[in-house]
Amino acid sequence: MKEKVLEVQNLSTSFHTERGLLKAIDGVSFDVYKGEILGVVGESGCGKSVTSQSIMRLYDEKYAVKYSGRVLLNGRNLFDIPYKRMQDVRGAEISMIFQDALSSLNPVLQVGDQIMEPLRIHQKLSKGDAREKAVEMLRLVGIPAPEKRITQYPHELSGGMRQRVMIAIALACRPRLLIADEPTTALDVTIQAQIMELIASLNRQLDMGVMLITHDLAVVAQMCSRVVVMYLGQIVEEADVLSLFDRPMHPYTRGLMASIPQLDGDRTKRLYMISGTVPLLSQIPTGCRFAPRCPYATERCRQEMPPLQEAEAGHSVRCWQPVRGGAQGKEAQ
Amino acid sequence: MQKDTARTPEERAALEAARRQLVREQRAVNLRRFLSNRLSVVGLCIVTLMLLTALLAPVVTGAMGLDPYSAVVRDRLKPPSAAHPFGTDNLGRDIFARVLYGARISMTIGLVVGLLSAIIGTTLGLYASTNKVLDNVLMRLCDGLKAIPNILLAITLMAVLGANMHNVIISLTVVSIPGVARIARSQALLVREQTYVEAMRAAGAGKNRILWRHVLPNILSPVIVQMTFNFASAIISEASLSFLGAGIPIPAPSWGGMLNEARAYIYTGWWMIAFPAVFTMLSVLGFNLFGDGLRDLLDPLSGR
Repeated sequence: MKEKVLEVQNLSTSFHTERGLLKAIDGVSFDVYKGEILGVVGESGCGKSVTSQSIMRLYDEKYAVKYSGRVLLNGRNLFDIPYKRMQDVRGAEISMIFQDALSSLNPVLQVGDQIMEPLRIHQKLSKGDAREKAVEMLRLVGIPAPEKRITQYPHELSGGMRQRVMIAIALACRPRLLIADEPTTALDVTIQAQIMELIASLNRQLDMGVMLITHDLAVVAQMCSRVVVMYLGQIVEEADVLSLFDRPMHPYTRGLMASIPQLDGDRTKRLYMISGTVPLLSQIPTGCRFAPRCPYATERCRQEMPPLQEAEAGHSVRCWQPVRGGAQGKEAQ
Repeated sequence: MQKDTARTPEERAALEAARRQLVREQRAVNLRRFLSNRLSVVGLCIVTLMLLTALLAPVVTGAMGLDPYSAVVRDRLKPPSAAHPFGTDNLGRDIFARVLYGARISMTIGLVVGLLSAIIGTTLGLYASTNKVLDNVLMRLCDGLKAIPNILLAITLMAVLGANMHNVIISLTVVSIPGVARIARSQALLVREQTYVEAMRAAGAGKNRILWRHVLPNILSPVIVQMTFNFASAIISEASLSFLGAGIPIPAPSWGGMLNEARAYIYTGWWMIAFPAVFTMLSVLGFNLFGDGLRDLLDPLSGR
């Protein structure tokens, strides 16, 4: 087995709100190995982004948030580090790229200066050295004529270029873990493919762990080695990519897959839709969280929360009656 | 992808030259936009003239053999003439020289007050944006200061501190800080919500680095605009203080002080009151017009 970069153990994140403490994610555990890409999939509001921001401890801990559980980065629990010292970890050992490359770059600073920031903060490089390294980073992420680009401002670059610059900033200090939070949502399709290809090739080249957060199952199928499916703040299914797509066991995962439009599908048929909507965090059902929307829900599902348990080797699912065998079940008909 | 390293130095120089050309063109566009607004150009001219006047006052008056302090009793209350372009006052001092030296006082005070209040106000505003408690304390203090009319507050401070130039600067700075602090705070709060600040936090930047390197440049333009308005209001406040006798002590040629002395001679020597008044008005007008132009240039949303 390869070396673990990140181990998330029973992580819960709650927010203080007017209606009391709201648990946005509840007992999430997963690992990211060196050199692999882990996909984290789920609908909007299922806690994907909260998970990543909690790993980086980006929330305001004085007022807004309460964490529990452990996040081990190379065996060291990040929650044991004083909050102030977290800034030595961010950008050096874990980096993050955000959804919207258009607004993730400071409009009044030159691109080069922004890539130099992490280098100057963490490696205390001189201006000249950092500049050289920034040029090198731009070249690494495939930007032509980096010496020229470095003095440009973000508004002079295209969307794809900006996301490449973001990747250069994130990787400048060669982190062990890269969290990519829907890195291509704001880009158009052709650029999306290029950026994904870039992330995959850098993943191999730099041998770091990548946590790819997305709602696009096609991207997951193409890029990731293992997948975690989240629903309403919990992991509902975890498997390697082949067995997940071959034998999805949780009704939610199956629903997600059935709602992908097929090119060769029957055009007269309506696209499958998971009925209902994601409940509010303050109205979480008592039993299985998916029960109200699940076509197979029984009385037991509504009363008792199923545990996440291994159904096959390396394939865990949180369901009382996981579906076995066959990729497309009843949902697709 | 590696192609650019193979470029010859000549090709690279050509690229660099093309880029410089672009930057020059952008500057030219900005300049043209500023110049297309007639009023702001008028403002800029007045501001430049006033600053030149202040700078060159000793040179000009020296060349004309005039002195702002020497009183010649037989030349009392002379109307404007070739020897005394703006006439003389009730003690026989040359008003032209006094008005020019007055510009030195006004411009110094405007400049120092504008800069000091911008620096202190921006610092306060930036830190207020980081911490709720600090924010509440600072902003309630600003509310308190704003509740008292500026000129009354300044007079009170002058009464406590004593009348001299330093104290005028101190009290006018205190009066101007809340305005800048509020603008800096509200802008900083907006900027701190932006993804790029979050992204820089994720890259490991600490609180101070984020404030000074990433937030400050983004809030600078409204602060600069506010600074030009503070500059103008400092000039007029200084004149008011001196007019009331609470500003620059009397023999010094401050515009406000000159107006105060001229009050008794409004019917017999109109020139005593007219010239300092016109200069005060012109410089305040100039800075306000300039500030408006700057605001239109820096903030495209407020413009036409």
